[in-house]
Amino acid sequence: MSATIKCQYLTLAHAQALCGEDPESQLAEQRGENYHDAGLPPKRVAMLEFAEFLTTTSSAVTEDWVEELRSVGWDDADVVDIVHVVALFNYMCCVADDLRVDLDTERGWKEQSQRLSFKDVTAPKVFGKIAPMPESPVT
Amino acid sequence: MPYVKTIPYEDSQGELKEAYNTMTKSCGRITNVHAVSSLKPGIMKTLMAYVLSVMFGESDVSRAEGEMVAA
Repeated sequence: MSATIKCQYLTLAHAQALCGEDPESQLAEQRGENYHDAGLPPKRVAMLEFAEFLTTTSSAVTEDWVEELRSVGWDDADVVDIVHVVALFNYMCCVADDLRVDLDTERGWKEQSQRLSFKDVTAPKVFGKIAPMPESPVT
Repeated sequence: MPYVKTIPYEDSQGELKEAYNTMTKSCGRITNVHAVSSLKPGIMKTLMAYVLSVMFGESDVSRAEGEMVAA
């Protein structure tokens, strides 16, 4: 979900951590940008679709989403865990982007950041006006 | 550079130094995303505890799956 909201810092941090957990992960290789094309089983795809939807459209979630998670093998405690991971890292992305945290370059992120599709997305503030979003996060 | 002042470990004292030490012990390093809140060590400590609970607590959602969601 960090890639969904175009947060470079958290996307790179967790792609790297995922690579550490699973060095063969295609999702880590493409830095979380296209989980539908990462060779993941349906259970994990459903988890990531839920995470993406929570991130972009949280207020529109219905019980159908939870039912779908149950249908692929997640139980209610898992759903609670997933929601907290999503909520925590939405928060962390906000901190990282809103305060403009520097990338941890000693961890090799500078080069990795150049491969992100959203590396140049910014929205400079116009004094007295709310700057438009460069691109809607809801697709 | 971040938009706000941050206090490096070398200059930290009291609650902030304690928060930095806890972070180093549990994560192996002080990450920039945590250090950016160094003016608010109470928030840093609470956030660190939250991260440890969510990502490293007992769960059937594996660490790798948590990282997939976070990425």
